[in-house]
Formats: sequence, C-alpha cells, structure tokens
Amino acid sequence: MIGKILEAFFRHKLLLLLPPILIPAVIGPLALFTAPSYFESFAGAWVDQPAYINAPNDFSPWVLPSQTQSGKLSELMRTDGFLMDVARRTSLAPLVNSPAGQTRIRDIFDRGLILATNGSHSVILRFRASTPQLAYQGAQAVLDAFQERLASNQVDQAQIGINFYSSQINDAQAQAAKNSAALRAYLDSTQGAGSTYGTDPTTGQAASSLDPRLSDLRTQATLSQAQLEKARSSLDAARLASAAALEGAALGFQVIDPPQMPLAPVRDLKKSLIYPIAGLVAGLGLSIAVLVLLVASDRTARTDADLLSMGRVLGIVPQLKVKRVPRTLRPAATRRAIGFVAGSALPSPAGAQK
Amino acid sequence: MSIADSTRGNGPVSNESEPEADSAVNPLRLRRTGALAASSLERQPVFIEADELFRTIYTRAGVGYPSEVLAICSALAGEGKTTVAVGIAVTVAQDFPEQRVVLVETDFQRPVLADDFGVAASPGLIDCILGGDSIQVAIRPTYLENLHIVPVGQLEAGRGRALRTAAMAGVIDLLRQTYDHVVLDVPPMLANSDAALLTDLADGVIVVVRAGVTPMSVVTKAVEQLDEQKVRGYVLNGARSAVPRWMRRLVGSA
Repeated sequence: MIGKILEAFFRHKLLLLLPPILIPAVIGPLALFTAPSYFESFAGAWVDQPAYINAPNDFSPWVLPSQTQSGKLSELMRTDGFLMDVARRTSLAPLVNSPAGQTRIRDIFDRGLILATNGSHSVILRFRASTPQLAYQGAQAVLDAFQERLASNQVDQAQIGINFYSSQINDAQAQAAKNSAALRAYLDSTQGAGSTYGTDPTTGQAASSLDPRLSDLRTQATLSQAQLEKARSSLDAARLASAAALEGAALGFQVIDPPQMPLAPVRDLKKSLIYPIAGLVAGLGLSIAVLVLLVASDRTARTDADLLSMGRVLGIVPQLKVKRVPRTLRPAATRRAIGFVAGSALPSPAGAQK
Repeated sequence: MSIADSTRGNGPVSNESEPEADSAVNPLRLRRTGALAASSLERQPVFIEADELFRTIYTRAGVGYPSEVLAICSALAGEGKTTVAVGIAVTVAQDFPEQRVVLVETDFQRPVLADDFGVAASPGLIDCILGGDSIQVAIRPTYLENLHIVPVGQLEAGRGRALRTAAMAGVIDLLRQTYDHVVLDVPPMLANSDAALLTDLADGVIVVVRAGVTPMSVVTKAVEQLDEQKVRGYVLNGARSAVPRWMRRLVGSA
C-alpha cells in the first residue's frame, strides 16, 4: 500500500505539491496587506493585594497581586455598570444611552482591551481602537474608573467599620449610664452606705460582700464601663485602619506608565500569520485527499504483482526515456530502437552509432 | 560502426531483393527518428539488454515448438503489442538462426511495420487475401536472414472483413507450413472484433498490458474473449516507477 501511495505521490508530485504551496502563497500576501490597522495605547500599573479594614489577609498566597488585580479588573469589565462608567469617560459616551450603543461599546472593549500580568506586581493594559484618541481615552478611562472603584470600595468599607464601632460605643455608653444610674439609685436608697462603699474600696468590698445586690450592680457597672472603653479603642483602631487603607489603596494600584496617545497605526502581523498557516493546512489536507483519491481510483496495472491475479507474467518491458524525439514519434522510435538492438533486424538509422 | 553493421553474422538484405520503399515513407523522418531514438536510448541498460529481455519473455511463453503461431494482443491500441511482437520475432530469429521466423502484421488500422523496417507497405496481407495473390508477394526480407515480415498492406474501405474470411485462415496455415515461428501482431481486442478470430487461429497468445494506462477491468474484459488455454501469459509494457531509487531502497519494495 505504501508503495502505491509513494508511486502516486511522485507521479503526481506537481499536482500534490501545488495546493500547499499555492494556497499560502496567495493567501499570505493577501492576509498581510489586508490586515486591519489600529491604534494601541499602553499603560502599566504597579499593584498590590487589596487592603481591607481589620480583615485578615484571606488571599491565597499562591495568587500573585498582579493576578488578583488583573482578575478583578477583568471581572469588572464584564459588568455593564463599570463598562458604561468607563465609556462615559471616552468619546463613546453618546452611545451609552442606547442598547445598540451599549452593545457596540461592549464589542469595542471586548476586542480592544487586553490585560496581562508582567511579574508579581505589574499589570500591563493595552487598548486598541480605530482612532488614536479613542485608544488613549479608553486606556485612561479604564485606569481612572478602576482606581476610583478601588478608592470607593475602601471608603465604603471604612465607613461601614466606623459606623459599626460607633453604634457599639453608643450601645456601651447607654448600658454604662444605665448601670451607673441603677447603682447610684441603690446607693441612695441605702442612705450613707453608698458614700462609705463608694469611697473606701476595702469597706466597699466588704459591704458588697455583705450585700449581694450591691455587688451585682457594681459588677455590671464595671463591665459596661469596660465594654465602652473597648468599643472606643475599636473605633480608634477602625479610624486608624481606615486612614491606612485609604493610603494603601493609592499604593495598591499605582499607574507607573500612564497611557500615551499613539502616533502611528499598527498591524497585527502575527495574527495575520494564521491565515497562511491555515492555508497551508488546508492545502495539505487537499493534497492528502487528492492523493487518497488517486490511489483509490487507480485501477491500472503498474507492477507485475497487479497482473499475477490474472495469470503468469512473462516479463516487464520498462519504459524507455526517448529524448529529442517528438512525442508523437516516440512509440515508433522505441519500437525501432528495440528492433535494432534485439537483432539488428531493422535498417540502420543514418548517423546512429553504437 | 552502425548498429546494422554489427557482427551478428546476418548481413542486410540486398537492395535487389528488397522492394522499393513506398512513397508514403519519409526517409528523412525515418532516419531522424531512428537516429535520435538510438542515440537517446543507447545508454539505458534495458535498451542494451533488450534481446535478453525478449529472450526471457519468449522462453517463459514456451516458444520453441515447430510451426507455432504466436499471437501478440492487447486490450486497447497503443499498449505496445507491436513493440513486443517485433522484439520477440527478432530475438527468436537471432537465437535460432536455423529456424525461419515471420512477423505478420494484422492491425490494418495502425500499420507500422513497413515504415519501421523501411519496406514497401503494399502489396500486403490484406491485398493477398482480398486480391487472391499468393502470400509470397507480401513477404519482406529483413536484415536478419531468417526473419521476414508481412505488412498489413494499404488501408482501403471494406478491408475490415478480410480478417474474417477463410482466406485468412489459409494464409496462416500456409505460413505455419513455411515458417518455424509465426508471430501475429493482432489488432486491439476491444477495438477490433477480428482480433478474437485471429487469436483462435494461433497456438498461443501473449497479452500486452500498458503499465499505468490500461484499467484492469478492461484487460479482464479483453482476456474473456480469449481461449483461456491459449494464454501463455502477460507482458507489462512501459513499466516505470516514479519513486526515486533512494526512496525505493528506503522503503524496500515500494
């Protein structure tokens, strides 16, 4: 079988080699010359893990800060809210108000925005657009919107924390005031015992041990006071953490390379290479298909093995290569030449020397 | 030294005994074709060893019995049956100088022998059959003393029936009595219905198959018209491998 395939291949080598050569040769230049040109704006940012208030660092140690921030930005770009926020900062703003415009915006950013990590803390942002202004505006808008979103998140979280601890303080203060009032009222009701108990800790302790009610009130007052102090310190810590987080937010996403207005259009030649390669693959496929067809459709006898099924093969007369003789005269030339040599039976052709 | 002047002990036929060449034969073309063919083929081993090749063929075909008629046929035209017929006739004549060999051309649609041997095309086999002349007038000598040829003759309308006549069988019988070996160059089996009748007159048949050209189904169809007992075997003509030699060595039998 391999012999038949090789025979068919070498017999029709020009036909079989033509598709894988011709198709890429035609498609390649076409793809290169028709590759769309665009403008591209680059930006680079130095990023860190997001800092959350009083939250343990629950990020996986195996996920790099650049991956975290890049993933976060990618997810945000898939939301309509963030995307339209970005678009409003560009010349695409008029499109935001219509569904068709929003679809177009999504298409532009889906195809034009490329995010890539470059090391553990570096994120590269590329935005391609049909005009240099849009390329620049798009890259800048993404950076601005993301930075604002980060800062807004930090402020929101800080405010939530401060509000929480402030409400705790209020509760603690109310509880402490209530307990103090209850203690004071009890002491007033015991007439003088309160002053004695209140001024002398020893005697007060002794009195408390003698009066369980007094002891209970005094303990509650002490606990509520402690809770108040703890809430105050937590609020202070929350304010401190908030301030630190806000500062950290700025440090967590620093634009190192701001986007520039692109000056010249570029062509994605690497992407255009896929067409010649696809043409080569298609040409090879076509050649293989033709080869299979040639082998399958060849019902002629080419070797003695093909004739053995019919009977005895007496001999094989190889094809003689007759050169410098017109094609139409070659069979006669071969026949005569064989006649000369086989027995010199034919008249000598003039000028033929052995 | 010319090829014809080689020292085989068989001198050329004298000009007196050779009929005048037919005006249709172009001597210039003949010389040019033969000279070019010889000069372009002479370095090819198969050309040099052509006699050995045809010796193998006729030996395997069992040629050698006296008064034997051997028909060389093919399914279609242009498969090389005349080449094989010439090769066998010439080789047998050369190998058995004491035996007489005649090569009879019966394919009146493609007459070539007269042109190849540079002899008169007429009168030929057809003229003798239809005209009632003796076959002796159609026999032409060649450079080999014991080899004669019978060209088919001039092509005229209505000659297709000549091969079906009893006179044709009579001619074959006469040649069988006169010569030790009669080689018939038969028309294509599927192109001429007379071919099957001619093979019936022969003692053995050699089927020539053009390599890479004739479909096996066509060969089978042609062989079905033959007497199976008479088929001596097949000759694959024009075999050529397009695979480079180094590749054939690499893959073995390819």
